[in-house]
Amino acid sequence: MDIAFFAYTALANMVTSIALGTILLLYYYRSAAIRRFFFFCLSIAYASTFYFLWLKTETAEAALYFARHFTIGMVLIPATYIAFVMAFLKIPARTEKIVNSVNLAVVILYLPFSFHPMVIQSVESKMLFPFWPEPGLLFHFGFSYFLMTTVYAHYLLWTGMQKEQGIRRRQIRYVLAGTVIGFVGGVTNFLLWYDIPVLPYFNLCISLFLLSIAYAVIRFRLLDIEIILRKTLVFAGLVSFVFAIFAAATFIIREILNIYLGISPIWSYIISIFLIVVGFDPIRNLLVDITDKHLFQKKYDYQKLLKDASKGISRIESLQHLFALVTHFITMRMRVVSAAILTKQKDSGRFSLEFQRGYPKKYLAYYVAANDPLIQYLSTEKEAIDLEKIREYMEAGGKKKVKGEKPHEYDFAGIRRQMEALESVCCVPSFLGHELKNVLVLGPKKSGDVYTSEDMNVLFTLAQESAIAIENARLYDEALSRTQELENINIALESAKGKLTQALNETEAANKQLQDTQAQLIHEQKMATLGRLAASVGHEVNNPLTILSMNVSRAILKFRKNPDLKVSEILEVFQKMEQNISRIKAVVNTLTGLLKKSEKGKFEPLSLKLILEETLPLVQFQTYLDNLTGTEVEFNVPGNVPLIRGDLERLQEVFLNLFINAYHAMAGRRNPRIEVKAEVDPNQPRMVAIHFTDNGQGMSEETQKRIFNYGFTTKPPGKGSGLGLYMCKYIIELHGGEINVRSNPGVGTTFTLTLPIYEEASFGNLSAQSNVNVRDVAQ
Amino acid sequence: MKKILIVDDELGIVEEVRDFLSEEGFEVITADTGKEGVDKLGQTKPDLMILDIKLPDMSGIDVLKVCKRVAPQTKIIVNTGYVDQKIIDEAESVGRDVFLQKPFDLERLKTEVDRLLK
Repeated sequence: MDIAFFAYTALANMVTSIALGTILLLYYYRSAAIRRFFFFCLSIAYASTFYFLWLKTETAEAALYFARHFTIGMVLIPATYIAFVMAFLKIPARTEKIVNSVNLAVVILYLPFSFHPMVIQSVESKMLFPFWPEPGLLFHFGFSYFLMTTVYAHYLLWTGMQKEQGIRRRQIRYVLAGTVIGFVGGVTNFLLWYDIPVLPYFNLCISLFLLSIAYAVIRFRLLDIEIILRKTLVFAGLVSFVFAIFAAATFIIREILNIYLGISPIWSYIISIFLIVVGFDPIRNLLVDITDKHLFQKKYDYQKLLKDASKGISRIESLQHLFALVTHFITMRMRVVSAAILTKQKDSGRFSLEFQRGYPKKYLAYYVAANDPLIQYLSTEKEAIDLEKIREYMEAGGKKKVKGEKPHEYDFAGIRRQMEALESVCCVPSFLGHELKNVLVLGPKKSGDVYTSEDMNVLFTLAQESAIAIENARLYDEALSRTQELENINIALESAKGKLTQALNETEAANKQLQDTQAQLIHEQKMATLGRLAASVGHEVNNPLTILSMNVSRAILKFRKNPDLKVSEILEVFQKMEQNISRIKAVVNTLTGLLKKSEKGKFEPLSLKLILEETLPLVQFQTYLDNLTGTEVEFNVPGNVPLIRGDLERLQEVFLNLFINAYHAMAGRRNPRIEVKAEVDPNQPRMVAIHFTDNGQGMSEETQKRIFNYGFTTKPPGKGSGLGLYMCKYIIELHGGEINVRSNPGVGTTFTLTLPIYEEASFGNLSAQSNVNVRDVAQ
Repeated sequence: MKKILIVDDELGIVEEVRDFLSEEGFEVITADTGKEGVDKLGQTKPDLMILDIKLPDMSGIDVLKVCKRVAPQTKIIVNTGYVDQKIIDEAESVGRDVFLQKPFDLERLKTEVDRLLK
């Protein structure tokens, strides 16, 4: 094996350490651990550079000089490493301060002696190496320090690992493993110093060690390892390129141009610089391309897929599909154990857990309140949160530092409790406008990796895209459900139609029942009329009866005074008695004539004049009772008015009611007058029209409209039953006629009735016709 | 001599009561409408009025009310052939001394008149 191999392992370590240290520092200069890691990388780079130079040099003096520089690195490396480990493990500040002070003291004490022969006496040829240092007394001291510190670092990492759980534990394990590898690799460099014939084969392990630590550190979210590796590779490639150009230029130009053409070696440098300037960018792009396309295929696809998903979801119209896609996509593509979506409920404002995927058992009706700390955090901060972040904030005293503002305070313990309840490691909010609409609830990654900030950025973007899509889908769903509603309404209408038909049938049945009821009403109305008549008849009979009684008592008194009284002397008294008896007889006869029961529904030819004349005495009884005498009644019924077809008794009721109403309407008015006029209806030649006019107080339009309604009355309570005109209309319609009213308030009222003319031809089936009419009216 | 006013539109009754009470030794005044009755009440201030409720021009109740105002000392016998408890009650509430339901005979009338004018 060539000595050059060992030189180049050192060179590789140098390149790796500078690249890693610089990139991590650029990304995470805020982290104390990373800053220390950077110094540690510098120390390694320092040692590696001089190690490389020492092995490559051709003179003993130069080798000694470079080796002495290497020993400075040997002391710096453990000092910076232990500082990094303590910052990484968050060792209490007191301990950290003491250890760092001791280290600093050691380094400061050591540096002045580093070029003293007590460290390296001389260089000698050992195995392959022409110039290998002979260690002095102080070297042993320095190496002991290296060993002790490294062992201490192992110890710290080991105990630190025991205390931690989960991701943190794994992370420390990586650092510890890296430290062991690095330690083993590093120590192989020192065996030859103690004449142990082992070549420093494992020097390259230092690069591995660095990568391992970087990987562990970034597992703790700092940066995705793949990005680190990619950038490190590109950087390393570029450094190699620069070196290669220099080497090539130096060799070709110096060896060929100088020797054969005699060109100055200065030109070799100028040309190589020119080549570097020209070639740097294309080479870098090529390297980036190669690493992206060939080494990081998965990563490349993953980002592209996220982009595609964001585009694709906005085209999905069904909310169900969309949610399903989002959770499916995340669980499958990001390799997440479980995913779900918390969606804001429209009415209550709380969030319900939906579309659970990958949970060992399904949560049923799980709700997160609107004032839950998790929801509050996501609403206010508008960023994704994961358990690592929460842990950081909690270590910072439950505060989130915000540039230019007072630190935001949240109940991080509450947020963690909620996330643990949801079995979630990372929650990503999704906004529509400023309103938090949904939360992606993500479980741990299957790989056990934490969510990197890049992951969270991509997820956040996806969540915002999906918010719009979700809203679209929700609107679409609503539109769909409205269509469904319309269909439901249609169905309801159909069934309503059925019900309506049924109701119509029922109504018909009810109509039949109503007919019976109306017949009953007619009967009752008749009884009421009879009752009133009986009262007035009582009055009409009682007056003559009183006189009769007085006549009798006068006669008796006279007989008592003079028992020999002759009948001729009191003949006058007997004549009076006879008069009064006749009068009583007349009253009773009128009544019996009226009450004579006619056969129900049997219509007969009737003279209108007769009806009116037979009704009038009843009217007079009635109006007499009500103190409404003194009314002029005029009948204008020409002799050529034909007979009408009807039931006398019922038509008498009609006219009785009309008269009574007219009298009441005219109460207290001057010159009360009623005119009853009859004629053949000019519009309907088979009908007789009767106009019944009074000059009473009249009535308003409103009253006219309702006057025939059952139960409607303008009379004070207890005075009118509201049955009268209702019954009139009913009776007239039973006869196949009509009744209408026309009135002027303050002037008077005219009722117009029509009744069918009696026709010889229809005489035979009067009964049947009347039945038909009854049906017509009822319907 | 005690004065008695008869108000009734039934002339047969007026005649009979007037004849009978004259023979019994009373001064009898008659009226066959409400208006006439009211006029004669004011003019004569009778000791007793025999009043019918049913009058052609006004209600006997109104005559009763006027009587209470213009001749408060007058005793009142109300009578009617009309069987309506409401009117009977109304007459009582305005203030009649005796109510006679038609038909009534002269002996009954004489008993009430004697009792009221004792």
